Amino acid sequence: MDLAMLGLMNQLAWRSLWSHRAKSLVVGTVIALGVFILVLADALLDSIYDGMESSITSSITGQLQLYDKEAEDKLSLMGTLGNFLTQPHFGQIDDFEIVRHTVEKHPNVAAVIPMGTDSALIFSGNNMDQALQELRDALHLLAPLHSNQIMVALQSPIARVQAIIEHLNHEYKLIAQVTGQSKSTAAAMKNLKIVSAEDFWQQFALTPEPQLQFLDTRIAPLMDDSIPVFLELLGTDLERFQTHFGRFKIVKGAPVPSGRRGLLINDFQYEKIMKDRMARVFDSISELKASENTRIEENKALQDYINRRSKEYKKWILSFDGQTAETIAVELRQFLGLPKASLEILIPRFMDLTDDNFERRKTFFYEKIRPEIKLYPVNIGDDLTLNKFGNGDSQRVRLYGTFKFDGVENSGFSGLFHLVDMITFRELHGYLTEQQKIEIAALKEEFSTPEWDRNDVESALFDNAETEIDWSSFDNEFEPNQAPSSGINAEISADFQLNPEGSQSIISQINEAQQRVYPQSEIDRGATVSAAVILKDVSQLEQSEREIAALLDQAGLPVQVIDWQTASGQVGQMITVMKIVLFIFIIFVFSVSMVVVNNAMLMAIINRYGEIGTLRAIGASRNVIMGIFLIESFILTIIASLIGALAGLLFVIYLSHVGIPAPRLEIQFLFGGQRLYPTMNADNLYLGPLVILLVGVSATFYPALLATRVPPVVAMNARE
Amino acid sequence: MEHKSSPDTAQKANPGTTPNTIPTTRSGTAEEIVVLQNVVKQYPLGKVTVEALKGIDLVLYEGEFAAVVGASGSGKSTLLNMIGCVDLPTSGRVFINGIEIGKQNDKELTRLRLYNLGFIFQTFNLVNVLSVFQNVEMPLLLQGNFTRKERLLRVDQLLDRVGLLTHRNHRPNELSGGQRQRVSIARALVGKPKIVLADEPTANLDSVTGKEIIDLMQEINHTDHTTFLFSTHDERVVSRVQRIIPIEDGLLKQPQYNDALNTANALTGTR
Ligand SMILES: Nc1ncnc2c1ncn2[C@@H]1O[C@H](COP(=O)(O)OP(=O)(O)OP(=O)(O)O)[C@@H](O)[C@H]1O
Ligand SMILES: [Mg+2]
Repeated sequence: MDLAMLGLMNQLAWRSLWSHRAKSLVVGTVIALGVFILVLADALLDSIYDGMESSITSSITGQLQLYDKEAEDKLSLMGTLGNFLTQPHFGQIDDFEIVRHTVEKHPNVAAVIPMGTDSALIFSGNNMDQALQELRDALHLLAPLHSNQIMVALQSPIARVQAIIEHLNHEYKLIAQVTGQSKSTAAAMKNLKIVSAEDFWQQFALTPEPQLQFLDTRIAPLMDDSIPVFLELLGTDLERFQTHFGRFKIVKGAPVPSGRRGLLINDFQYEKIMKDRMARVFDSISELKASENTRIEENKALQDYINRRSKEYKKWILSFDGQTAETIAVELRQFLGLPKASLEILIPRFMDLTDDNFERRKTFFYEKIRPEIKLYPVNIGDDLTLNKFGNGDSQRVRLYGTFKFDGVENSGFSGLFHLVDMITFRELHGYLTEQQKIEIAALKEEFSTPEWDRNDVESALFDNAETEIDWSSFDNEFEPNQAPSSGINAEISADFQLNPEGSQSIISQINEAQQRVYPQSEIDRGATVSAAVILKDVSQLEQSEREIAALLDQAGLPVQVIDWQTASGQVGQMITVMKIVLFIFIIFVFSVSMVVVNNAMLMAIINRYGEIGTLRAIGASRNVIMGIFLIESFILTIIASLIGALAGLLFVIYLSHVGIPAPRLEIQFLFGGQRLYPTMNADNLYLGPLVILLVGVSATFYPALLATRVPPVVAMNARE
Repeated sequence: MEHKSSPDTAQKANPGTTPNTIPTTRSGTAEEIVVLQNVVKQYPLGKVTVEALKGIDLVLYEGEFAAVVGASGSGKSTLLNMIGCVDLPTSGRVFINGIEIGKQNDKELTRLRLYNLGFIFQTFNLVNVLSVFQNVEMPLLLQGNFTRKERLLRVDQLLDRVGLLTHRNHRPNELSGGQRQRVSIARALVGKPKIVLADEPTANLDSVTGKEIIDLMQEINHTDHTTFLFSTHDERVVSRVQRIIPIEDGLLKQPQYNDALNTANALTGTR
């Protein structure tokens, strides 16, 4: 077959396509559409991948994560959500410093940052908390004074705390009468008895901080008006984290000062979850009005939301104390012009928001009501007690501010973590410093652990002299032979025992812990769960991953290296899921185009039966017939693919200008921002047309084969 | 195609002794271009078998202008299909230019048709999406051993001869039936076949046009000595041919020769 014949076949194909243009149009449209969708889907997926990569790597994981080779579970920094009952085992990197030095030898490594996740509860919104905070503040102000003077100056806040203790004592007596003495009730009553005793307060005068901690952790939670706030914490070297995670931004407050202990709360959670629920109604409507020009009248979902929230008025009223309730009632009566109404009427009426009254009510809320209520459960500058979830360990740490990850600040995923310094994290997580390990060992020597009697510890703590209360009766009755866990009492007492100089040193120790500036070496030295590796050149990821693994092996460190996608756990796996979806989609498009092309070609062959016979009769070989049909479908497929790909390209270009708004907050995370601005690269353009070309030609092959079987004799009977 | 040698040089078998029942020739010098020996063709038709050809012996000589004549259903088309190598006999042997077609595979048969046979169809069978020129050019392209210039020359020459040079760029469906059949004739002749087969070429034409077509073919037969074999039951055609091959119910009867009509031409054409 020479070129001229090919030329004729080509011409035959073009003209056949034209003369059967209805068919060509249908087939072409299907193919073009298939390619269009494939090109688009592929480009979007790639862009989402990039968006996610950017979201994840520049906020949490870095490009690579290092963790224990012996870990029983795969490290998943973002995948343990909803799974906190069975804590995964990620093992630990015993000495971060060595790992850091080893990995930093690699020329492509910009930084190695220690990391670990844990969860903690803080109790808030609690009268006791407020009272204790007041007490603490006063204490700080009076710090230079002598202890006797302190007690005099602190009379008022102490009285408030004692009143609450009195109230709790009364409550628990009632509870015990009604429900019997359960183990927890008994424990509560025991703790209340401790703090009701006079020598507790005598001790307070000498060492206020441990006593305050006891009140914080043991008594404050007994107030049932307390709101437990669950915090998923990411412990890290805050200073390096802030430097190397490009999306990190402080929103409110300030960064944790260099080397200090401190907590930064995720602004998304602070605003969207922790903030007062009524305030959030106003915030959300404002946001919707600003971003989407939403009108309440036209938005049924929004109306429902407002309705649901305004039905919570009872809860809201309960959260006011007497004075607040009265103040708010007075304001609202005046504002709404209902001089006699009660809050039960005023609040639902006030929350009946419309487009007309919204702005005025929002202003009123923030001007008049907001100062009366607690807008957030925790305030910036507060010293918070982080209670380790599941056991009694706790750490006090200051909340310095809130932060966000730029571009993904509104996504729930990136609002997952709060940041806490590495020292606090280690202690909360149960990694002991070298010093502590020695102390605990010494402690174990002293009280051979199994027989460790709480009495000894507690009397050591609360009593240099004797106590009137017989603790042991409680203990023996309700907690026989219970060895103290590494609870606060044990720690306090341990400190006490190990510092024979006296209790004054305990305050100084705890204060020191709070105020101390930890040198970098101390932050580095010690254990971590994992470490993020920030690379200089991200495109070298795979190679660097291998080389870093080799470096670690050479150094004999039992540390493995994984990439960000693996490290992010479930979230990272979404990419895989999307790839599978795309693959299924390709198969679907593939099948549909296959069927369409196949059918069209069969139809063409039936229509052109006589023509094929004639060509065969006058001497066209089977190859020529095959060629004619293959060329025909090749041409059709190429043209349709090009049109489809071009349309896809133009559409992606268009989208890259206007952006695709994230339909939901979680999606922002995938999009790497509020809108996805998809980009197109050459790979995206190849895939669709290639797939379809394959489809087109392979779907034609069988019909074309049939065409070659048309016997020449049909030419004789052919009717035009 | 990989080799362009005309297949008439290959596998040239001698059909051997000519059938005895029918006088094979009136001129011992003419070459036997088609030989049929006891050709039987059966068509399975449901449960029964239709025997379209019941044992045909026939020899066609180069330069003949012959017509198979018979009633409808007598087997004319079937016979032409055997000779045209578009269908194979159930039994018996068919030689075209000395090559036995029963022994050829599809590829060889295709080449046999391409180089040795020209077809004129009752229904013209032009490729409607191609121009008149391209339709005629097709066999040359399939043969493949012509330059563009050669093709142009040859096709235009033939189109001129059938009187359609001015229509060379038209589409077949822009032409009348007679014109289409002329294109068809040009296409049949362009590859310089040994024999042109025409199954009822005038059946779809009015009598005047039909006559013109026969005139044209006769003229070509005279000038080029191309062998023509028709099938027809058109009396006007019958009267114009040199040799009449009557067929009845799948069997040939004694051939008749229109000696009065151009006998000399017909015979001298068999050099
Ligand atoms: N493909 C076929 N299948 C079955 N029977 C066939 C087939 N082709 C022809 N026949 C039968 O063979 C016989 C001869 O048919 P053929 O077409 O050769 O006759 P014909 O002389 O050309 O008739 P006509 O003048 O009508 O064209 C007829 O009985 C016909 O029905
Ligand atoms: Mg017929």
